[in-house]
Formats: sequence, structure tokens, C-alpha cells
Amino acid sequence: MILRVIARSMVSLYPHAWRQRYGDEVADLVASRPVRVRTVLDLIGGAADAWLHHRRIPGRRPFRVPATAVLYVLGAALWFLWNPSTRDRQSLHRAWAEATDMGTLAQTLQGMATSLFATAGVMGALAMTPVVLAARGAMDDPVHGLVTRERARRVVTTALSVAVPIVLLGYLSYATASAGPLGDAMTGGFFVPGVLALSLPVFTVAAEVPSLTSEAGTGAKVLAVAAIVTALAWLPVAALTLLGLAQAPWTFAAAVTVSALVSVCMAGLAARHALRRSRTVTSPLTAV
Amino acid sequence: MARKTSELGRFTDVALLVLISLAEGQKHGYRMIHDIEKFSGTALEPGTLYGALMRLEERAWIEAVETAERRKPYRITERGREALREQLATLRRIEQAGARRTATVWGTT
Repeated sequence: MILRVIARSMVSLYPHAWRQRYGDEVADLVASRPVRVRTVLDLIGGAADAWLHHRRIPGRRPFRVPATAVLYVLGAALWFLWNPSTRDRQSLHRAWAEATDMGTLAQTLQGMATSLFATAGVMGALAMTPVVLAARGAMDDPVHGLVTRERARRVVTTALSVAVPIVLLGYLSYATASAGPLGDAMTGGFFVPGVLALSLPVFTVAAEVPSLTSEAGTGAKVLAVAAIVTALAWLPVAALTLLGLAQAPWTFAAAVTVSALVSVCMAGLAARHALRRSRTVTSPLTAV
Repeated sequence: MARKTSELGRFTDVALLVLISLAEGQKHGYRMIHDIEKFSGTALEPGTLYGALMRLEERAWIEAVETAERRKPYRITERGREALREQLATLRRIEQAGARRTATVWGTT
């Protein structure tokens, strides 16, 4: 009995496309034949083989790395890059001193970067607002079925749970902005992509509620604009780094460049994911 | 045939057994396992069987039969029949060569 349960659970080790194609048949075989230790080991070997040769699975889709995993990696990369770029006080002060030799241009660029990052952060944090408001209304509206109301409730609870880390990120960004004018100018670039990525679960849950399609689309567009603003905010930072390049080591310039690329990629990916989610066609069942 | 089956790897023998089993008509996995055990004495486990089915389906030697039932039957295709004929011919040549040589050296028939 226990071996049968273990063998049945081994099916979950197989790739998704394989399970879609053969999962039911193998589960049926496991349920209707004697199961031995050898059966379990054979299924483990079969799962490893299916992963190694997943291209052979009939009807498989091209292998894609999940966007969530990429966002995690990019977020971790930004966290590690935060120190060599924005916390290298000596390089930051030297570069800033060199940049200010150009007159008020440095202050203007610094103000632009700070304002743009702040704008992108606020937009990212508020992007889910239309979805949450609509979900809040749908929760208690008897016009909607039980399933829709329950899913609308999930949208609201998800929004509440991601609001806490978003506020924390915002506070951290504000509290740590003390690495000189150049450091302050780029700090937002390390936090805004995280804010954008954190709001994604709300769009994922909202994709299951057809009545929220319009609001989810609006919110995703706001996220896309926030991602564009994030990219624009890095331009004055790049200009400042270039102006102070003579006084900063190449490692500092390299760290800022990589940070900007990772930041823009992460913000862009989060926005793209939200846009895709908002366009997801939901099954007719969700309309019940 | 050797070139054709080389990519089947450790599933070459299992693939042959599956093709022989399906040669007499369509079968689902459960019946295939019973049939193969009956005519060859080989007790296949689900992981091995479906590893072979995946490869045979990929090269269009077998195909699934559309059915509303949970147990999906498979049938051999024309390409599968051709592959099976070639492989059986190879096995016959090997068997004849083996029989000839053992008869010469050991004096057996």
C-alpha cells in the first residue's frame, strides 16, 4: 500500500509535458499492477530519462525557464551588486566630485535620477490598486458566482500580503540613501525592480477572474510604464558615472553598468509578465 | 537496422518487444506488459515501458489510438512494421550465424 502511494507520487517527478501525455496511463498501471521497490526505482530512472530526453516527448512545448525563477535570480544579483556599486563610498565621492566640476549639470542629473526612480517606485506600488479595488467590489457582489467571489477574495489577500514587503523595500530604499549624492541617485534602481516583481502575484491571481481583466490590463500597463521610467532613470546615473569616470576605478563603472542592466531587465521582465498575465484567457469555469 | 535503433539506447530491446507485441494488434500499456511477459518472460516496469513508448512514438513507429477510455491503446504504424521486419531479419541472421558456428566448433545442431 505504502509502496503504491510512493510509486504513484513518483509520476510527479516527470516533466510536465510527459505527465500530460502519459501520466494518467502510468498512474493507471501503478494502481492496477503489483508494486515493488523495483517499480519505484524504475519510475525514478524513467523520470531522469524523461528529463534528459525531454525533446523526445510527443507534443512537448519548447523548454522555458519560468519567469519567476529568472526574477529571483535577477533580484539576488541586484542585492549582491548593491554593495560594489552604491556602497563604494570612496569611488562614489570621487566620481561625484569630478562630475560637479561640470557645474550644475551634476545636480540636475542627480535630481532627475532620484525623481524618476521615486516615480517608478510609486507607480509600481500603486499598479495593483485598480485590480484590488475591483476585486474588493466583486468580493461582496452577489451578481458574481461563488467561485468568482472566492477568487476576488484571494486577489485582495494576495495584495495585502505583498504590500508588506513592498512597503519594507520602500522604507529600506529611503533609509539607506546616505551614500552621497551619486549613491542616492542610483539607490532607487536597486529597489524599484523588486517592487515591480512583488506585485506580480496579484496579477497572477487576478488572471483567474474574468471580471477583473480590464483592471488587470490597466495595472499591467502602469507596471510597463514604471519599467520604462526605471530604464530612463538609469540614463542620468550613467551620465554622472561617465562624468566622474576619471576619478573612479573601472570596477566601480563596471558594477554600475551591470547593475543598470540587471535592474532594467528585471523591471522589464516583471512588466512583460504582468502584461501577459492580464491577457491570459481564463477557462469558462471561472465565470461561474 | 542497427543505425535506426542505435538512438534507442538501453530501450532497444524493450522497443523490439513492444513492436512484436503490437504486431498482432493494438494494445494499451497494461495488456502490453502482460503480453510481453507471456511471450518473452521479461517483466517490464511502467517507467521502462513508457520510456520505450515515448521513443517509438517520437519516430512514428507506433501511434496512440484515439479513445475516450482512460487506458489509451497504441498501434504499430507502417514504418514500425518495416523497422520490425528489418530487426527480425537481423536477429535471424545472427541466430543462423550462431547456430552454424556452434555446430562447427561444438558439434551441436
